Amino acid sequence: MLRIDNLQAKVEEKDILKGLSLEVKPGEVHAIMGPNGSGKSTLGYVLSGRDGYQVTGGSATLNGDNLLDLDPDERAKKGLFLAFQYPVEIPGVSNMEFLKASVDTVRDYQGKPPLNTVSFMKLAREKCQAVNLDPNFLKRGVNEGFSGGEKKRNEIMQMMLLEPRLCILDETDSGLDIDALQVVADGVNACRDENRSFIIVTHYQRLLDYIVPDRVHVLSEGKIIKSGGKELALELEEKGYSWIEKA
Amino acid sequence: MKLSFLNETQTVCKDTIISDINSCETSWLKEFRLSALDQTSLQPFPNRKSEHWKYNDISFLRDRTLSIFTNDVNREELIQKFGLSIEELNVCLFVNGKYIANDSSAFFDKAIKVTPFSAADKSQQDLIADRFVNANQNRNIFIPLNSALSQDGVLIEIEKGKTIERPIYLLHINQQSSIDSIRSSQVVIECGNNSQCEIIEHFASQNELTRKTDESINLALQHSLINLNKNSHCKHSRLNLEDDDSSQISRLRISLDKNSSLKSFFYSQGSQLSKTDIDISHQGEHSESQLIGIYLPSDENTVDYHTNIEHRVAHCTSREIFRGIIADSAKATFSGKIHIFKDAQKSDAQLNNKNLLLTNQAEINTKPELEIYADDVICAHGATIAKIDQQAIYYLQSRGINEMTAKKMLSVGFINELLEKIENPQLLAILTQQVNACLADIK
Repeated sequence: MLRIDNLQAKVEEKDILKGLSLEVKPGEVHAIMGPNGSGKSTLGYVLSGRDGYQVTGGSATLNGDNLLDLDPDERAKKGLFLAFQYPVEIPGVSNMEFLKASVDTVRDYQGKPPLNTVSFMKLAREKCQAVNLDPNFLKRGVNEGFSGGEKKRNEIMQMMLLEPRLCILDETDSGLDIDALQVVADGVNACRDENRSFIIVTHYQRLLDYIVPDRVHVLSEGKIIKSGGKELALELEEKGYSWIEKA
Repeated sequence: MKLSFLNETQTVCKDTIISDINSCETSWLKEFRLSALDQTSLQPFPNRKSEHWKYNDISFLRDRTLSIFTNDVNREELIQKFGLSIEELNVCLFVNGKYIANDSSAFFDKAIKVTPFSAADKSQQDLIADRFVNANQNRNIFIPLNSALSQDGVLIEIEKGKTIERPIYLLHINQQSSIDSIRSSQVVIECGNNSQCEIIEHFASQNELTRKTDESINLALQHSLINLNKNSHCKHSRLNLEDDDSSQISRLRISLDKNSSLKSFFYSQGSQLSKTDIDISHQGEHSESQLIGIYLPSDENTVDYHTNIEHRVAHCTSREIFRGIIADSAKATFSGKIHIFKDAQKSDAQLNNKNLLLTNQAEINTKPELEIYADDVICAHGATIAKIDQQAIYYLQSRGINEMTAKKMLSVGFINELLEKIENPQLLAILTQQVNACLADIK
């Protein structure tokens, strides 16, 4: 599915990723943990192609396609999805219009015809209910005036609509209350299948109680310094990051 | 007939206008035009040293000789060509500034009286004269020049107490000429006490009839005076949809008496010169005005809206929102002034202007302005200038939408809120189509 090899990237002349390697197989859920400033969010941005994040070495491929040469929209069409830590507000563009454009584009790329408005509405309402969002949100501007929790649930709703191959969740749990965390986790778990993979970036072990990972990695200073099974997350929770960094 | 803009000291070649005025057969109108011509001599030809013209370069008019442009037209043909449904609209047609009269009086709703100035009776003449006297003719040279040049104007009276169902549709078609030319039109509209109506002013170019060279100047002057009498309610829109190479210098003044209300909508895609001065004057208490404007200039076009909202008396409300998207090397100017007079206590006025610049070459000059002489008022004004939000583009891209579509969605989103305020569904459909076509080739 995803293969990252010795990836190096910088932002404004500052090296952030310093030789990161990672392989995610179809159906796997990988958790990436690590202290502030270790490069967790940068990894998501680099993989999705955000402007200003410059790759200086290494490679990243999704199902054999070199991701790093593609525009962000091309990567999305190939099945990459990044759930943002801070989704932007776009007043004036309705959620509905945005989602329809997005789903139509991705379907078009997959050679499927666009959904008519009625079936799209039905589908969008269904997904809203799945993440406990009032369908009236569809009429509002994209993320406009949404609370932190509503924005995160909106991200998961988009993920469910687009049915991507690889989902990167960038601290989707931050700022969520317990109920919202459960809703987000249920959304992710509902999407899990043998062909879809996840990278869950998080600070806390808590989310991993709900979304059980296959692998856990510790990112520090732009590199993965330790990998293990789900029990690694528990160990980190108990001892902090310093015991690995020191080792 | 020639009209020359010679230089700063001798702005207008008078004799040529005088001979045109002398051919006028209605004596009061002749007097009216001559007195307007007198006023032009009080005004210098504008230059960029004056605040009002600071951002308009009209030096291209200098040293040019403009002919007064007229052309015979077939009314029915034009109505067909522009796809106007006379069943749904009260159509008033102006071609090159000249009012093209109806053959049939049954054409208009019964409660509307349309009278060319040349056919006005004594009381109508007094009314017209009075409206122009109150309209601050001296604001700039083009206002009296318009009156001096206009061979005829039109007075539209809406009977008191009546609701006009079909919109009053003023279509101004300016035919492009291959020689430097000028045309001018003037309209006075009186909305009687307790009346209700919708007025649409539409400015269009027509190119098919003549072949136009790139160099020729086609200048249109236009002046509309609308008077809302007590408790009358008016929806109004003014659409500038001329060709890129046309020029317009125009002025609209709307005066509101007690308890009257105005909802006005402005739209312009710009042209070589597209300048509209808008004066809204609250003359009676508890009158309410709402002005919404969208401007979308592209290429090398310019748009200029100068608005001035006067609160002359107490307890009036005004709302003004203008938004512009400036593409390519286009240039826009917005100047919005709220003027609260000394006795206008409890005034509630808000003005907001937002601009989106799509390129590094696009230019906007915006100036919100408050002038307040009363002490118990609510006034707010603001203006912003921004580039398209790169984070929002990235967000849309990350969901599969390509950069161009994303830019277009964000641009439409920037003005969507204002389009949604258009109440007439046909008008909304036309403008939505215009906006989409205009933003279609955003790069």
